[in-house]
Amino acid sequence: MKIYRTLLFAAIIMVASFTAIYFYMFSDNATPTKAIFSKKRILVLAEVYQNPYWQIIRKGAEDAAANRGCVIEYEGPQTQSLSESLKIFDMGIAASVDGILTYIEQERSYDAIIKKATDRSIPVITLDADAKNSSRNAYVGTDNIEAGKQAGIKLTDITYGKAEIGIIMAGKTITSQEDRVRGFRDYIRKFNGMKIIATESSDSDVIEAELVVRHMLDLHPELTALYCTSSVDGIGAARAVMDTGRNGKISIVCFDDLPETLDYIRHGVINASIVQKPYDIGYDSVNLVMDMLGGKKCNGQYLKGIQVVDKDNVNNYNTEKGEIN
Amino acid sequence: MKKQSFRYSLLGFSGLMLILMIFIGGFSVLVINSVEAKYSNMIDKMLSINGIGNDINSSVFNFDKYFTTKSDSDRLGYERFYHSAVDKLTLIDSNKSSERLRMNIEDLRKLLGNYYSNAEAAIREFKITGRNEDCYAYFVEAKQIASYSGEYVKRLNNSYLDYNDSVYKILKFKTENGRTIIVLFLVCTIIFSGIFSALFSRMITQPMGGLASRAEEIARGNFQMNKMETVGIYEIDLLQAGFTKMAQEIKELIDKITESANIEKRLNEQELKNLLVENMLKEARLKALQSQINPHFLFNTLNAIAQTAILEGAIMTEDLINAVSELLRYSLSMIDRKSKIGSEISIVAQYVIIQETRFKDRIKFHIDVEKSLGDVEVPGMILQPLVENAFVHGIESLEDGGIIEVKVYRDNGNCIILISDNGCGMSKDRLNALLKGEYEPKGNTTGIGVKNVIHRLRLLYDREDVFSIESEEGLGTRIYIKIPIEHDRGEAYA
Repeated sequence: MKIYRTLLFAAIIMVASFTAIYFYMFSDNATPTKAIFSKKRILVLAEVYQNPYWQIIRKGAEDAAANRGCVIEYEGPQTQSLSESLKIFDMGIAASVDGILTYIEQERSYDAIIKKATDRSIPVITLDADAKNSSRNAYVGTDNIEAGKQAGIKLTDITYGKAEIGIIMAGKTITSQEDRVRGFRDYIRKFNGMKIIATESSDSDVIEAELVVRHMLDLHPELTALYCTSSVDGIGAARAVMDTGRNGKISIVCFDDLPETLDYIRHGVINASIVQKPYDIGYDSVNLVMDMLGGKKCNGQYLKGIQVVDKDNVNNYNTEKGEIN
Repeated sequence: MKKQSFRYSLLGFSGLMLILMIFIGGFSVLVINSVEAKYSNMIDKMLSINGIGNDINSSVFNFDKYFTTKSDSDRLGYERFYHSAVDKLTLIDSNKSSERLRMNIEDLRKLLGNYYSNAEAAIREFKITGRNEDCYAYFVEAKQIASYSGEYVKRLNNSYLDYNDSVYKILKFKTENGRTIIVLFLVCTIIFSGIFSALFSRMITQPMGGLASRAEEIARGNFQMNKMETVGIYEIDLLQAGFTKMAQEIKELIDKITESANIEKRLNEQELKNLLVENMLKEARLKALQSQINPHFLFNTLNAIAQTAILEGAIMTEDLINAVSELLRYSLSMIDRKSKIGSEISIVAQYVIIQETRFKDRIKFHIDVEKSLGDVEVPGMILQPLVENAFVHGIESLEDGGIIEVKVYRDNGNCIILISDNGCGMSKDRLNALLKGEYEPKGNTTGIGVKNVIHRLRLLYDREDVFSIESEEGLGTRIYIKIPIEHDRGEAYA
């Protein structure tokens, strides 16, 4: 009879364990409650949605949001578009988001919409590019004039003060780009051998950047250096230089540390890159806007430093936390 | 050990199996229900999200129309669709959803709120002041906001699809695992029932086999029962106990019968012994009686008579008395001793003298002995009683011509003594009775009967053919005594 008791016992254990498994796996352990969504919603309006540089900013912002208990609504036009950006901005206002972190496509064009937001007491922080005369609460981004100056110093070093320079910008009317060019130009003015021959826009698109550079090289075969003021321009320029077989004949200084950019630096196609700190920009701006929502007064410019990365330090410079691979 | 009825065991087992099967069925149903509920919930929500966009569009359409028609039905339509959208939004909101989804819901909720407040403001202004600038601004703003709703619904849809993707993955995982669990459970149950059945059947058949082999043992007559182990099944234990008890009782019964048979046998033996003792007593009494007549006195008297007969010149008388005396002496002394054929023959001769004297020529004796056989040893007093018997029962009744013949001859290493007469013979029945020792011819004899002779011969030589008899009524009797010469059996008769 002992065996019978054992078997009975086994059966009971079997039933019990399977019941336990069922309840563990299939029961809705908590009925959904209609708790109101109380987290602050922060709209991050990127220059271009897919832009890798902005993806790093997004990562920084989302990390900060996780810490501060808010959520990020990362939005942006699929291609660079002022009207699209403004529409997204307005949509944010229509949805009464709690804070807006935005790229400024054209300084003056944003004044009205920023005012609409601040009138509804939605704090607005400009990222990467500023709109100083608007009612925006703060700016977080690179000191673009300083960044341009550093680029000028690096290119002068590389070319020994003698170069025929082509400039590729993400957009000729974009404040940040203009600042970078201004800082660059102000520095190289001191050197007679440094000449700017051409300036073109890539509209912040890699393929367009490549085409622009090809065109530029065709028009100006005497070019010996390229200055690219945005992250994608450097890659486009490097591709064009490679494809036209001018590798080594043309010095390139560009911006940011996208993986492809770093690869080109390792291979000597790109000579140097001015690396911003997009992760910090995203991270700090979210903290700032949360501080504001907490009642803290935060106004003015919060400038982030830059690093110059070349072949010597490409493998061991202080890699940004949010680097995307 | 607790005893359990076979019936209850079987019932319990089937019950357990039933419960397990029900459990499996229930489990499957629950799994299917759970999964189905989640799927239908998913689809409901997707339809709701789609409905929100339509509701907002309908609301805006009615709102817009209201400003041209001023009809209450349009206003009500605008309101109804707005509330329907809000309700749907509330329906799909759940704290279990992904953060992104909830964010999108919140966006849309706020957007709807802004739309409604602007729309209400526009209607209010419209009612108070008509189509003025303020009214128009609110009107435009409301429509602008509503136009964004499409984008937000799209985002919501995307988020929900993303969220559902993860939910679906979990659901799929659960469904697959549920199936695995059911199969596992089924396999477990099958194994379980297999083990149970095997054990159960063994538990029943084993004691049955034991019982069967015991039954065989009993059939073979072995009642020695080892104590059988109880198996814990009530019926089988009962059967075993009953069987054991039965075997024990049979054994006791047989023992009892054997004992009483033994007693009876012993009783018979005792009776036989008693009988023998009685016989011996009788014999002893006879001997005592015999010994009362002093043989010396008898012999002396006979001698005296013989001498008197000599003195008186009666030679015949003297011979007769001598013969009687000799016969008497021999019969008294040789009954328990070994003798020789020669001595036996001479005693027969004395007897013949006496009988010849009595019956004169009515009877003739022929004695023919092979010379070399005179020294063959035989028990004493065997020949004379037979001759006497032949005389008394065969010849005496004849008027004339009776012949008694005694022949001793060698045959095939045996000494054959043949006593034949031509008297009246015996019937077959009587012959058999005589041979079996059941019949004793009665009459006028010197004392020792035929039965005694046959008995002694058989006892001494331990064989049936030592004595044989042929007889035919009216023709005579022939008695053969076969004595082996090689073996001197006389020694045993001391």
